[in-house]
Amino acid sequence: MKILLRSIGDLRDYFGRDPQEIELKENATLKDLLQAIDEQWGSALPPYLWDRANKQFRGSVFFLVNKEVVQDIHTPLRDGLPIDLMKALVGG
Amino acid sequence: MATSVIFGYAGQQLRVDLSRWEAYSEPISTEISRNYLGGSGYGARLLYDELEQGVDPLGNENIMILATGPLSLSQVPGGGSLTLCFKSPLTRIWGESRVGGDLAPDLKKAGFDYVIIKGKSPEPVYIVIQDGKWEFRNASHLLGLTVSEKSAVLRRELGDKSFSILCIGPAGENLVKIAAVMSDDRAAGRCGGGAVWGAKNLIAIAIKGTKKVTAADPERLKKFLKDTHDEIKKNPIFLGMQSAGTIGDIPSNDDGGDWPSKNWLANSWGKGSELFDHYQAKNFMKGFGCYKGCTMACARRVQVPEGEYKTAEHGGAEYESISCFTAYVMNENMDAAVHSTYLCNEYGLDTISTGAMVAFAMECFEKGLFTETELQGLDLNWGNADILPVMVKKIAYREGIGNILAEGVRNAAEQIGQGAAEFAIHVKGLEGPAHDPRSGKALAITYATGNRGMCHIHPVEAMAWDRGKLDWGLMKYGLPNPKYVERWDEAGKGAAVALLQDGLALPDIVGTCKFYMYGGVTIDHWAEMISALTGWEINGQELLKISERVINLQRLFNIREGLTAEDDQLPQRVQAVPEFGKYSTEDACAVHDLAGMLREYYKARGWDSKTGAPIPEKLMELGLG
Repeated sequence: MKILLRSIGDLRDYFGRDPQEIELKENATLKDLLQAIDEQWGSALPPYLWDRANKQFRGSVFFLVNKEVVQDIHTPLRDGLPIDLMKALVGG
Repeated sequence: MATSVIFGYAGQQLRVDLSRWEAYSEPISTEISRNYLGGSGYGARLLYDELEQGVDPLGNENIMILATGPLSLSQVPGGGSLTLCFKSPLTRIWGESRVGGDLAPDLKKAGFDYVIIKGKSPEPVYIVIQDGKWEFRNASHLLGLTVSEKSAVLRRELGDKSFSILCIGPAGENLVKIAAVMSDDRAAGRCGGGAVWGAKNLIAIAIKGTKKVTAADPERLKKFLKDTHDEIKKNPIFLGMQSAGTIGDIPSNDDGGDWPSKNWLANSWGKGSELFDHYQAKNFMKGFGCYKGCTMACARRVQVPEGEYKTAEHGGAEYESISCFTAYVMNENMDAAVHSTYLCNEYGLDTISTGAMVAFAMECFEKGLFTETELQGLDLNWGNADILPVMVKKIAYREGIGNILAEGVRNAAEQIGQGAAEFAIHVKGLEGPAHDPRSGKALAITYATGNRGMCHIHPVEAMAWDRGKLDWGLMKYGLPNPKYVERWDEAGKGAAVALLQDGLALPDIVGTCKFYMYGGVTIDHWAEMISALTGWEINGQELLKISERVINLQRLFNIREGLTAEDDQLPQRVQAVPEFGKYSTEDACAVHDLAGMLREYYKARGWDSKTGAPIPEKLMELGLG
């Protein structure tokens, strides 16, 4: 399957300004997407953003599907799904 | 004033004459409430009408207003919010500072929407306000105590821990112009309100009540509040605030060029991640909500558990506070930063201005601008962690060099001379906070034009739009979609910033915490809540008009105090390519055409292009003519 990863704001500095098409196995879950991110971008992401040991984002970085936060790594994905990646820039 | 009952308000304001230890309760104005709602809006109308031009901010005639808004209720998302309005002794123009906690809901329960304070008490005084009654009490025994000591003594005297306490610390007593007014560990920090209290001999106010505000349509309100709470708890910013607090922004802001460093010589340092990691591992204890009913709970309980910078457990370590004691001063010791900001709270100092003053002092030291007599052996080298708590105390007590720094950066630079004004970073006298327009140029406009001076949050953190891609629900009112806005573009942002200011000034007017707007509450939510509460059928467009009216009235206040278009500026250093760090070769991040951005902004605002004053047609349109 293919999903479309769209990053927002500063994250585009690392993931590219255009949506990224990512190929995953059939019946992939969010965990598989995290694996793919590590393989493709892990070495370039700064440590404050990406935990390479555990293959997960650090800090307030969220996946959004239809504007809803998705946090469960076992969440199943589907072919053609657009997923937004955003940093919760919190202000203060 | 009109005396009809207003749904959704306590309905009364307490007028206090400290000189005579007298006060009286009177109905709030229906007309002002309808046209200005409350908070900084109602405060602006009263101050403009009742304060004479040119009043000494530390004189008896200055007026200090404690202002709730119609939505300052515990059950409202963000309802724990009180705004102080006064003429600032630091900037000598519009002074406004906001404090969280239970104060505002408690003041309404005590029966008052506003407390309006004039005069000067002949002796140190504190006021007890409870269930429609008030009492003046001698406060001599409180002098010299820290904020937490004062609060503990008062609660013991009153025999009731549930009182909300608002008080000054030693800094306010010493008329330090960057003194805060504190409520436990929450601060009405900016603009020197603490010095106004100190000048009035007003040491504390204790508030408690049991009265209820009556809503026009309680069922409609109750349902909508529940729906709103349910909606926002899934919002990513809401979740981010809850999990990381404001300090969670440090690594990202350092990386993104939104972390002013070394007295604004740069916008990024490279130490943000390791500093945050230390805080997370050693200082952070838990999150908490600063008022009863807060679900976002972005406040942090922290401590330094051991060592030379040990502190008690306390609420603190906010993004701004810590940034001003790390990046501003090149301090790599997070424990020292947590300790120093804890001291600011205890002494009653604005953490932003205090950190800024230390950074300024370090640069003065580097350039050899202090005499040996002034220095008295102080080591003000950049990055010296040990000096930070020493300087906080010196400023709070006006000791040695602290006496100059206590005047704020504009006044201190004038006193020091020798070119110090070039690196005194302020706008209109208010020291700059820890957000950098070289991360997102919209902030340049709002820094230059904000009514209380160089402020990131009053009314809006505009870089959160062009860099952070937040829209706060304002696209339906014409805000350009931030997804298609480049953060370093300059042209075309003036009108957007005017709308952003109107939208984000609203929490200060309606009496709520602005972070809930980041977490998904929009002005349409506020409009529905106010409609259900008051019975006035109000929509988002009208709310924006009210906010525009308030911003223009505050502008008129400032113009009357002598402000001109020349005061809408930004220090050269803040516009320049950074001298070090990640963006030191990035010409695009520098501010190239502030004048052009301001021209666009003035046009969008309906302000004269030369004087910066609202044109007559705009004033008529807003009912200010």
